[in-house]
Amino acid sequence: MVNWKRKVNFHMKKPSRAVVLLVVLLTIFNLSSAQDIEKLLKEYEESAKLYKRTARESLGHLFLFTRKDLERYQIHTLRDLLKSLPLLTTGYNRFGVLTLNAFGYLSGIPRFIRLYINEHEVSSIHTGSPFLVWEYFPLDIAEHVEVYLGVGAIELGNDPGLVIIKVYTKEAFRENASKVRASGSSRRGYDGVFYIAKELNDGYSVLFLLSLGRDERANYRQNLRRDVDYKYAFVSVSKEGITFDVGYGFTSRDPFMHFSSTNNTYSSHIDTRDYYISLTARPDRDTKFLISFDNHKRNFRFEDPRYLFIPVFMDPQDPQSFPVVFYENALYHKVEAYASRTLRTDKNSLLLALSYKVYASDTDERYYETVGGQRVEKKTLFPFTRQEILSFIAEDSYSIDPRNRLILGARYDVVNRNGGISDLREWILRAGYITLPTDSIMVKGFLARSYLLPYFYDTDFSGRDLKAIEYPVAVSLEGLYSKEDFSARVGAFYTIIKNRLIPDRGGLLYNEPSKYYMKSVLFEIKKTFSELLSAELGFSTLIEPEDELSPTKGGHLKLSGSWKGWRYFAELIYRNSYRFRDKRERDSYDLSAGISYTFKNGVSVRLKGVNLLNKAYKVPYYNIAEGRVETYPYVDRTLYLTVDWVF
Amino acid sequence: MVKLLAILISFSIALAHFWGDIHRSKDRAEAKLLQRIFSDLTGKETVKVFVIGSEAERYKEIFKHLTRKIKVTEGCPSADLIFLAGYIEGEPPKDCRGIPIFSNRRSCLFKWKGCVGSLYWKKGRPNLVFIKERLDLYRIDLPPEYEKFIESERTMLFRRGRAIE
Repeated sequence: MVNWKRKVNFHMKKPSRAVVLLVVLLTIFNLSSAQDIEKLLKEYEESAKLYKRTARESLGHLFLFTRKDLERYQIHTLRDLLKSLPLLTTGYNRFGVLTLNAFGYLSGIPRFIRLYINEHEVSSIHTGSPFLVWEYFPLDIAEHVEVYLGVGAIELGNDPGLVIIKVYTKEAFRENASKVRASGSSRRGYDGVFYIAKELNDGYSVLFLLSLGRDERANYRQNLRRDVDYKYAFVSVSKEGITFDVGYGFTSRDPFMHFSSTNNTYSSHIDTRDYYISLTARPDRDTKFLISFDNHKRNFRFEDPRYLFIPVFMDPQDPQSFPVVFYENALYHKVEAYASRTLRTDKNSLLLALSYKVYASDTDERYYETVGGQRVEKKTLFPFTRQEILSFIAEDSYSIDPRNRLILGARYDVVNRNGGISDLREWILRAGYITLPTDSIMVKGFLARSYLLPYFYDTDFSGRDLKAIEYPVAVSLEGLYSKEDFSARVGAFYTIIKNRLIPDRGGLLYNEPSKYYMKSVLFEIKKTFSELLSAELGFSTLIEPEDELSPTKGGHLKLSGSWKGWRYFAELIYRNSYRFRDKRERDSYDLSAGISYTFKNGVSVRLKGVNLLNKAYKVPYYNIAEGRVETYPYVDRTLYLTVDWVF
Repeated sequence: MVKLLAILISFSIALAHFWGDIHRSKDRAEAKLLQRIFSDLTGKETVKVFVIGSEAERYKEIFKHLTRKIKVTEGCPSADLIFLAGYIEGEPPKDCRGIPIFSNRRSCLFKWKGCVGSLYWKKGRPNLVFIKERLDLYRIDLPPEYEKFIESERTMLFRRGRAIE
C-alpha cells in the first residue's frame, strides 16, 4: 500500500457563525440531496440492466425472464422457464427430449426454435432443435433470458424460426462473484454447478462454468426410461468489445421409447456431445462481426426385439426386413460468419448484415440389424450431407416521431444443398409498426412472410427432397400497458402455413401442400402489490383450431413474494383437454411451489416441488405394435432441495 | 448485386459519424450519480476532477457531454478529486498525492490509502463504499444519509462491501 501524505483542504472544523448557518443550510440541502443517493443508485442499477441493451422490439413479441425471475421461481433449466409461455405446450418427444408444441399441434422435433447463448446459436445442426444437448444448460449464469414469439425475425442471421430464445450470461465485470450450487431431487437426481465471474486487473472479464448432473425420471414400466446424465462447461473471455466464448455440452440419455414399435427403451442409448467456439467483435456499438465453429457428435443405439418403426429401412411386404437394432456414430459441423453495420441518422436506423453458414454431416458408422438377422451397413441414408446458406439482411427502423416507429426488413437466403436435391432461394419479409400513444401504452404489429428449413434429420428419415415450410402470411398485433407496479398485455396472431412437414401413411415425412391456418389470442397481467406479493395471470387460446392433437388453450397463475431473507413462489400451469387419435386427455394442472431462505453470508437453502397435484400435461405416444395411445406426464411429481452459496 | 453492395458500403461510410455511445440512459444515470457523489465528497457545487485509468477517455466524454458540474482537469494540481476509472499500471502521478481518489473499481480501496471510496459492481448490483478512516484523513464529512455506505478500513478488509438492497 502506498502511504499518502495527509493534506487538509476540505471542510473547515472550527466554523464561524456565518459558516454555521451555511452548514445548516448545506445540511438541509445535503439531506435532500443525499436522500437522493439511494434513488440515484437505483436509477443507475435499473438503467444498467443488460436487457435494456439487448432486447429488440423488432425481433417479435418479447417475453423477458430477468435474473430476479429466475431466482424467485427457482428456474434452473429451460424446461422450468418455457412451461409458462403462451401458445405453446412443453412436452417430451419419443426420445425423451424436451420439445415445445404449438397449440393444437404435436411436433416431435421443434425445428422452429432457435436457442442462443449470448450471440451464438446452439440449435442442432442435425434436427434444428436445441434441446438434445442444451436442455439442462444451467441458467445460474444467465443474467436474463429473452424469448421472442413471432414469424420472420430478420436481423440475427439465424436459421429462420418462430421462437427465439436468447440466454444472456452474466457480465463478469458486473458480477465479480462465484457461485456453488448443489441440488438433489426426491427421485435421486442431482445437479452441481460452479461458476466464477471476475474482472481481472488488466481489464479482461472472465466467466467460467462447470456443471454436471443427472435427471432421474419416473419409471412407468420396467423397460421404459428417460433418465439423463449431463455435463456442461462454458468459458467467456471479453475485453474492449471482443468476446470469445467456448461452450461444451454432453448428454447421455436413456432414449425413452425412441423408434420402438412397442414403446420400450430396452438397452438403448443416445450420447451427444457439442462444443463450439465463437468470437464476437464490436468495434463500436453499431458494428458487429461474428465467427464461430460448432462440432456436434452423436452416438446412438436403439433396440427393440420386436421391431423398430423406421419406415425408411422397412419393406412393408417383408417383415423380415424390419430393423431390430439401429446404430449410428455421426459428426456434424457448422461454420458461421456474420457481419453487420447499423447506420444511424436522427430518424433512421438501418441495419445491413451479411451471414454465411456451412453445415456438414459426416457419418462414421451406421448400420441396422433386421428381424431376419441380417446386418445392413448404411453409411449414407441420403446423399444430402452439406448445406450452405448465404443471407443478405437489411432492416430499417424509421422513427416517424418520438412516439411512432416503422420497421421494414428484408432478408434473402441462398441455400445450396448437395446430394442432388434442390437448392432453395427464400425471402423473409417483414413490416412492423410500434406506437406509443401515451407514456404507459405501447402497441405494435407485424406483417411477415417467412419459411423454415428442412434439416438433415428430415431428409435422412424421409429419403425425400423436401422443400421449405412456408409461412406466406403472418400477422401479429400486441398491446402493452404498464404503469408503476401493474402491466397488461393483449396479443392476436394470424398465421398461414404451407408445405408443413408431416408423416404420410407410411410414416415418411413429406410437404403437405394444403394451407393450414392458425389464429390465436393471448392476454397477460402482472401486478406487484407489495414486496410480500406479486401476481401474474395469463391466458392464451387458438381460435377455431384445425387440429387438437395437443392442448389448444392454456394459462398460468404465478404468485411470489419475499420477506427479509425468505422468498416463496407458487405457479399453476393450465392446459385444456385434447384428443390424439382415439385417446382423450383431460384438462391438466401443473402446480409448482417453492420456498427459500438466504443467509447474510450469501448461502441460500431452497425447496421446490413440481407437478405437486400430479395432474400435469400428459404427452401422447402411439404404440404401433399394439395400436393404442399411451400418455405420460411431461414432468413427474418431484421435490428438489438446493443449497447454493454466492461469494 | 455488387453495385448494390458498393452503394450500401459507401452509404455506410458516409453515415458512420452518426454513431455515439454517450447518449445512452445508462451513461446519463451514472453521470448524475457521480456528480452527486463528487459534490458531496468535496463540498463543492462544481467539482474539478482529474480522470485517470484505462477507462479515462470514456468518462471524460461522459462528463463533458452529460454533466455541467464536473470539470475535467488536465493535471492534478488544480483538481479537487481524482477519479480512477478502470485500472492503472503503476501508481497515480506524483503530484496527485494529497488529493483523494474515488474509483469505479473496488480494487482501488485495497491498493491506495488515498482511495476514499468506490462505486463498483458485485453480484450484478452497484455497490457504494466509503472508508471512514480515509474520509477522516481528508476531513471529509459526508451527509448522514451516507452512513450506511461508510465502513471502517478493518471491516472493509474482512468484508466484501455492502450491496444496495
